[in-house]
Amino acid sequence: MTSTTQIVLTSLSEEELLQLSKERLWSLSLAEMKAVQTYYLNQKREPTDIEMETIAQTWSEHCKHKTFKGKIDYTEIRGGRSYRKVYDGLLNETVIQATQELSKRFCLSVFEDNAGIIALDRKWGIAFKVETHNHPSALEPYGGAGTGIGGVIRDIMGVGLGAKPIANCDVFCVGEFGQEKNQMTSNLLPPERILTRVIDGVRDYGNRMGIPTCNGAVLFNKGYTANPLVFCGTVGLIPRDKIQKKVSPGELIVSIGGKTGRDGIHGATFSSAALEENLSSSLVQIGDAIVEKKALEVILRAREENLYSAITDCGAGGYSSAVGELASGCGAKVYLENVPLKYVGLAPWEIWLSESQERMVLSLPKKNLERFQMICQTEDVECSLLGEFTSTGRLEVYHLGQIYCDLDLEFMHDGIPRVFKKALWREPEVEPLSVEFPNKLQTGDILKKLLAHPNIASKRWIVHQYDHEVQGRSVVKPFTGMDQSGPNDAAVLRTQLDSWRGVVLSNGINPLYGKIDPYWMAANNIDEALRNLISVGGNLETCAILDNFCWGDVNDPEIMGGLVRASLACYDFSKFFGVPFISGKDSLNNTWKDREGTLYSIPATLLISAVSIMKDIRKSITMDFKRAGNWIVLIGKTKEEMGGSHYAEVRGWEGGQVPKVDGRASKNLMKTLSRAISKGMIRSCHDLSEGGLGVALSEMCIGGNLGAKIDLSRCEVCPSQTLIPWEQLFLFSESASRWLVELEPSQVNAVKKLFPSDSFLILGRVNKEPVLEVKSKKTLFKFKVGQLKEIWESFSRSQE
Amino acid sequence: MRSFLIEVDPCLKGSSEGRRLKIEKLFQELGFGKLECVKIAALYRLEGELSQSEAERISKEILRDSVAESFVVDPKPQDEKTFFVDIWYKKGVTDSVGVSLLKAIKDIGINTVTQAAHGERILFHQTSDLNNSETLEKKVVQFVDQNLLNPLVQECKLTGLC
Repeated sequence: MTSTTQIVLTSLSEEELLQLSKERLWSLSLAEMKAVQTYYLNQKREPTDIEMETIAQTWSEHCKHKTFKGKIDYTEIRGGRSYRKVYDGLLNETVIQATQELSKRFCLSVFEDNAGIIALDRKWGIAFKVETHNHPSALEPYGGAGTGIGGVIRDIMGVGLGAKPIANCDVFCVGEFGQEKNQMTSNLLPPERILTRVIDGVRDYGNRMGIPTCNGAVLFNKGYTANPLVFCGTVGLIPRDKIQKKVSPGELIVSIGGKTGRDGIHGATFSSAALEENLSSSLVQIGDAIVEKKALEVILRAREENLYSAITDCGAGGYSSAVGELASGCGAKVYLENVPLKYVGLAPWEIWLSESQERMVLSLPKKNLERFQMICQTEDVECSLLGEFTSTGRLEVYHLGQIYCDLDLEFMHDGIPRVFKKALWREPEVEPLSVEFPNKLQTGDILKKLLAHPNIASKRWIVHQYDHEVQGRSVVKPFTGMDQSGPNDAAVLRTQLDSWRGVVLSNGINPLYGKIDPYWMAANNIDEALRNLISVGGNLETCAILDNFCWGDVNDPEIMGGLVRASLACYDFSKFFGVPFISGKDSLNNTWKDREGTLYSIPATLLISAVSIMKDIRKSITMDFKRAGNWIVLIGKTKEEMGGSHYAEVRGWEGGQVPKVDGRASKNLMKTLSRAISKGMIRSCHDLSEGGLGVALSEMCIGGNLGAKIDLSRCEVCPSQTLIPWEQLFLFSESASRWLVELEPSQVNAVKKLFPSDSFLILGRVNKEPVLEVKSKKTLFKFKVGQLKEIWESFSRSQE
Repeated sequence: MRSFLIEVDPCLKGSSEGRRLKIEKLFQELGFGKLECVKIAALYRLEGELSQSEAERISKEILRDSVAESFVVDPKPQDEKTFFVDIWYKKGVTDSVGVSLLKAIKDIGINTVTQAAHGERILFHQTSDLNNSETLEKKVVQFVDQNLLNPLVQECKLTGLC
């Protein structure tokens, strides 16, 4: 093989191998570099730059999920005893195993394609994927977030033989606003600017693509100041007979969509490494939604005419990953001179590795090329013939007659050495909440502080920038009520206008619990995603979930131990609820270095996204109070679980017990509530999460512009083990598996019979006068709903 | 080769008021002094062998929303105390709006434009406590660099201060 861009590798020492990996931004470990070295020693030649870049991208944590697929030596220290287990593929033994054991018939494609797919009905499937785009968003929030949502939309366009995107969702974790600059943060974009531009990026891309953004969350925590998390998700509609794809040798490799520039080169390896200063602008990608929208139209038309046999998107690693992935069972020859470029001067390896956006790669039978090109022409989409699939088992890349890459695909995909990591978990000693008294804050003052807390306060200024109506499918939207102020728990979409069927989308995330115990964080996140889904009319029977792990430095055994704990909870609670995981993504090593070189990790974060099918979207309900005189009932049990709560945060208290989830009890409550909603017995329903009962009550009043009179004197609650007044505990505990429901007086007895007596507590009634009054032996607080709304919306107003 | 700068402004009173006030507040809070932020506008740069009338046609047919926006081709600062800060993507960074614009210009039958770029213009008015133009220019560029653009992908140019 002749090449002018060979890299001397075979003669390097271990130290030199590592140095080379670092200099070239390959993020390959010594074991991986040695495996590559051995391969080329056997080949009796040196690698080319394209080959090394291709291997580095393919073997990156971003693409290969090395940690989750590697061996993990896990030690758990509990009650003075040590327990050890070696996981031979953590993902397989937890998340995927739960799905396999549940073996749900409605799961049509799980963990094998660009997205998970469940059955909507006999003809259609629902595809769902959530991705993260963290490091790019830290550097250039607008471009990073825009390409984050653009990328996950392409995942849906490239699942099976292509799905039509029908909804987007997004969750952002950013640093707290108003932080003083310090040594650690002096060169970073402030959280205010990061969030503003992230929102702009998601808004511009989603709106321009004509896809509604229906569901999401925003969390503020100092731990995300340097390394924000940007989760973007898309739901798609796909015919069930278009789920399978298969590449055959002899078919053409065709690329459609955007031109290729230097955008995002080294994106995959960069996303697997720590953020440092002085990064190149070539790492930044800027998206173009219009180009992607046009490419989508081509795909949907060509799919209906059965013009291609496989498709995937160009994501991390660009053509190297997309072509390499499609060619994994056969082989491919690629001619880089056929790639349309944004500008001249790109080296062959740059063309091959570029992460320029809006590109899709298809496998096309030769006979269909002319028709396909005609569709591209009518939709004004650039189409280029990159090469063809072969049966050689090799990836061959040429440029102007010269071969630059000749790799054994088996080595490329399976030659990576297994990662081995140590993980350690010490059972946390539950320290009592560090309650400080005298207690000057009255219950009403605490409620006001909670309502103003950025995690809880209205996100109106964000939501109103997104189009959540386009395509005309939105049934339950982000806001509800008299003046569209009440925050709904989940989104409901009517999937097709000739059917009442629909999908429910929700999410659960709470990194505060992870600081105390990632196991219970994961359990609570699953519980939260599901109870949100149940609140609007979803059900467990057709529900599937997605995991998105964002973790810190997994080379630290204790941080790795937390990841194992969270994965174990995913297995346990997926099984408890009978809800399978269908897709997921991990983003590890979310770390950054300050000027002194000190490495920091983000808070352990797990986003759970849930999707469920509704047979009749007319049965969906919202969270706003509907009518004066109706009864207000608490479903579920309240416990003294104030650790990691927003109550503890606004009081500046640490420690305490995080909420635990009783999986079986929770599942029974969810099934019962779901049935009651489907029978029309519940007028409104709101899940209890951040800020507990007090916040949920306020939000329901705000949504309905109605008041409520609540009497806690009849409520039986466990006595407080700390000095927290029991009323505050009852109002602000974040115990899992609880809802507030509104019942017509005629329905109270019937609904009461459905639930266990200790999980059905009548609190009071909806009141015509818009005043929220809560009393126990004496009045704890009495606020006008307008005042509560003013406080709850104050954060949003300050950002508008 | 000719170059036109086209400024597209919202007609509605109070448009971008929140952002303007925020910029003024931030400028003052960071100790740069007092400065009036007059308006924030979208900015487009067209290059090629195009005529003034073609630039105006492009502005009317593509760049401006005829209900909510107005445009000016090659505007100059209205007085010696008014100046612009223009924010552009750096060379080599994908300017997708610019790319779409170039395509749209060709679609309406104008083939004389070879380059199109999209940016943002912030119009400031000098106040009495910031009279030294040289110091002010330094302060404004420093402020914009640190707070209104991302230096990794964007750069700014100040026009109009004597």
